[in-house]
Amino acid sequence: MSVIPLRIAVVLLAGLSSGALHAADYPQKNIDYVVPFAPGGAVDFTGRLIAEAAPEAFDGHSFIVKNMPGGGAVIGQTHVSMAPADGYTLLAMTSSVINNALTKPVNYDLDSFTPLALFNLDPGVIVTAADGELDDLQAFLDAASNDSVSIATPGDSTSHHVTALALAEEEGLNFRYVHNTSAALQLHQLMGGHVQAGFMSLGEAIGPVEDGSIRILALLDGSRNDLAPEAPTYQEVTGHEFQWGTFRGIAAPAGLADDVKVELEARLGELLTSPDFVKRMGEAGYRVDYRDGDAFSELLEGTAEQMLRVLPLLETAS
Amino acid sequence: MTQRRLFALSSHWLDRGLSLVCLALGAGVLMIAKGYPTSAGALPMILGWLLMGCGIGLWLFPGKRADMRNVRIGGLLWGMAVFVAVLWLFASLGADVALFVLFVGCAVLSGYPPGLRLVATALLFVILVGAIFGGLLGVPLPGPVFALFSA
Amino acid sequence: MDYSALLAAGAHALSLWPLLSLLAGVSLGLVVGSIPGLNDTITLAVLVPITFALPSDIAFPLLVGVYCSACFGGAFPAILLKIPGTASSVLTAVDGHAMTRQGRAGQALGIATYSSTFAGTLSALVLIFFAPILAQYALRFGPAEYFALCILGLSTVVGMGAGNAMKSALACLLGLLVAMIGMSPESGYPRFTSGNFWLYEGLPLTPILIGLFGLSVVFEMLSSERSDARDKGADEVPVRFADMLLPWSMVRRLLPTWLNASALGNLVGVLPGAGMLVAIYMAYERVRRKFGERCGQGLPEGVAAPEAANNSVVASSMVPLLSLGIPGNSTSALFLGALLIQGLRPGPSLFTDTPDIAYLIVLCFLIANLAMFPLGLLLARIIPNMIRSVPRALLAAAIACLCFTGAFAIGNSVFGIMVALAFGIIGFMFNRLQVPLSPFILALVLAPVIERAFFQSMSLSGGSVAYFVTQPLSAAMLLFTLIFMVWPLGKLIIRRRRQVPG
Repeated sequence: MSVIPLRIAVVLLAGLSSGALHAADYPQKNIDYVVPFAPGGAVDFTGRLIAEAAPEAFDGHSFIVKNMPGGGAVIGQTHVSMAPADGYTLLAMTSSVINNALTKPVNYDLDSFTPLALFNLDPGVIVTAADGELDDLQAFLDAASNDSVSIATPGDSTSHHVTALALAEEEGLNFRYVHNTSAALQLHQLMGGHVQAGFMSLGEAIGPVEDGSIRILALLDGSRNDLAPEAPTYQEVTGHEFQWGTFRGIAAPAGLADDVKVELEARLGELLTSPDFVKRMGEAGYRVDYRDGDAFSELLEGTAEQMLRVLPLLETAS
Repeated sequence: MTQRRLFALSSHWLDRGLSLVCLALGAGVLMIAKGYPTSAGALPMILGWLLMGCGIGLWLFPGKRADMRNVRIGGLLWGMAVFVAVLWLFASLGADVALFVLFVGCAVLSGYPPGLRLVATALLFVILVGAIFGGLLGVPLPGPVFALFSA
Repeated sequence: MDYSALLAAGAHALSLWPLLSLLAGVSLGLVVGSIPGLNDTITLAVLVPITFALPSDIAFPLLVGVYCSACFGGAFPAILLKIPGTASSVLTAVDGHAMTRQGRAGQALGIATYSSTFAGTLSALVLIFFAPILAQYALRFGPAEYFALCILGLSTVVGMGAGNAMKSALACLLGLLVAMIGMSPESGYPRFTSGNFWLYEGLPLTPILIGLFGLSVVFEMLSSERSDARDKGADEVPVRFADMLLPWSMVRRLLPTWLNASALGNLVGVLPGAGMLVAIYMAYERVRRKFGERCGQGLPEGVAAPEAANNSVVASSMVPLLSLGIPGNSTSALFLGALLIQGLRPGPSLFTDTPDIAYLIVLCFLIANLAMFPLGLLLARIIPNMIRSVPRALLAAAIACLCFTGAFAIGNSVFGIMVALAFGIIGFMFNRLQVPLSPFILALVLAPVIERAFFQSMSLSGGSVAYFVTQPLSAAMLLFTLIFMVWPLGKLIIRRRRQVPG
């Protein structure tokens, strides 16, 4: 078998097509992009946007989106953590990696992955129905501390449930949790007036907010967001800092060879910041906030610390 | 050809057998669900009791329609053996090889004459499946041959 | 209602490229629908990113076409092989396959085509003219109402077993039990998982269906006498085109069933989450009430009701998305993505800001349902005769291959195949022991919704069970459930009393 000449040919071709920028012998074949959720969600959707743009940055090789749902994303995450660290298996990395590693008996943790790039940050929001009786954040806080407020969450021990638990603990609030399975059902209950408020991501809330069917009480971020400039941050109203959000990024299994890691990071950076990709993401309602592997690692560590602090709350709540 | 029948039981007693399975299952559920916290255990506990009730009901009023005659148990067992082998092939070698074995195995087990004709049909069919799933629908299947479709 | 925009969109939808892409979508939907294990969700997930590059007047006809026809496509294998291609044709298989065995496959396929087209068209019209009203009605369904609706839906299985009520109750209980596997909705506590994280989210539905209906048929073929294995099913009557065109008398006979099923499909199908299966089962239950024992033995209404209901659900499941911006199921979530990527925002503003494309989309539902008629009849002409020409042994092999592939593709893992194999054996035993499969499926799908809605209601009411009765809508539905459950008993007593003096 004449493997070596073939490799040289591929490298030559690669060099020709991308202006001799990339020297390592990667990539040589299609790359599996594992989405640990069923088709139809935000992670799957953004994954397919990335796959659409991938051949340009990866010398004509495709990203093949593989949906591996199950176990609250455990199945797909386990698959990637055990896959060979050759750069041909990537994971659509979300904060659920941290949640799962801390709350379920799984065989991986944050160190089982090499974070490569972050492409989307989605701050949390507290929302209520447009015609709801809670006028603003102060009214919400008063109602929750004097009496109790019913809260729609997208599910038990999801990131948004944890957010609500943390807020309740910090401010001494009483919430009655109504657990759903998706943001869509949360919106349904909010608009129908069945619950008083909900915790969700800005990206999931922005459509109905623009339609005027729900209102944002507070944005759980450091500064106001240009998607919803009228929405005040939690800190503006109360003076206390309270930030929480979800993120979407890309990771490979741990133990990636250094040259492959450098190559992958560079190409992913090129892909995720390309004007075409940014434009498409914008059209679909997702802002691209690119950060490289190191910055992504930092964010992951920070989130893990935050989770560790809140974990006891989750256990006493259930 | 000699045929082995799966149980010579009458339908009456088949239903009673089912009712015993039901009772055992209900008891098992009750035993396991007892250890669960209240909110998680409530519905399984109810189901366990209802299953027990259902088992008793079925024992008292068995039907007459259950039918285990004309079941060739050899065919079933061989089928299972092929399926398990194919499952292993699916995970280790890839979908294309596994599906080929599955097609040939199933056809031979149900009495199709083995030969070149069957091999050709199986090859054609497997390639068609790969083309529909990998090529047309973009659902990638693993395997050395199927890899060509998703590229 | 902006009639000029509606007319303009109509003219646009009927121009060359939109129409061609719509027809392509309908054809593709029929194919994926008829393959067990492939469905509209997975097809749309693949198609949506491809449509980025397409202009919106080509992209949406394609997507709508696939969505509309996939659940009709499921009826073909359901009628011909008793293997529902999609979950929505589970009940079609009961009477449909009975008709096939009586040599009336052509008529069954004809009824399925007529029913799907009629109900689909009707509900497309409802979508065009009444979407905002239906959306407001859907919003009134809170946790208590969902709970009551699902209990009402579950009560339809009471009389579903052929003869033995104990066995339908058993099937129902087993379905509920299988649904218990995985994390509990209230606390996330893992149940019956024995620490295996493959089971944390419960068993995946599609492989279960593939096993119960598809592989069980393969097991049946493998365990049957070998002598007839090389037969080409020559005893089956070939399907002629004339069989499929229903005479006017049949259309008149089925019309009440269609209207009933469409009404149910439109009202119940609007509700995100559990709507589809509940609507289908309720429609079938109405037929069963009317015809009693004849149901399940090849009754034309038994095919018409589920097929009409499932196609009317398709268009009405778009109501929450288009009027409120809430995707009701995973398929409309993909539509949401497709809309956004084209610079459109679903919700009340869709019809005022971009009326041209908004009306084009709803009109596509209408045209896709109409296009299903000739394409469906064409397929109904080809497929049965194709199946007839294949030796039974090869048919078994082909079904096994499709089942394995479909079970694998749903999660890209052999776990799906294992689930399908396990339920293949269970399905085989169910068939042999005459335990009906349909209560099992309904219970399996509804159990998580019931449990979640119950705990949601408890959380809202502070733990008071009276909450279900104090909400008028849920109280009414629970009352209906009670009547449904008591009715067969009451009828029995009345019959006994009449017999005594006679």
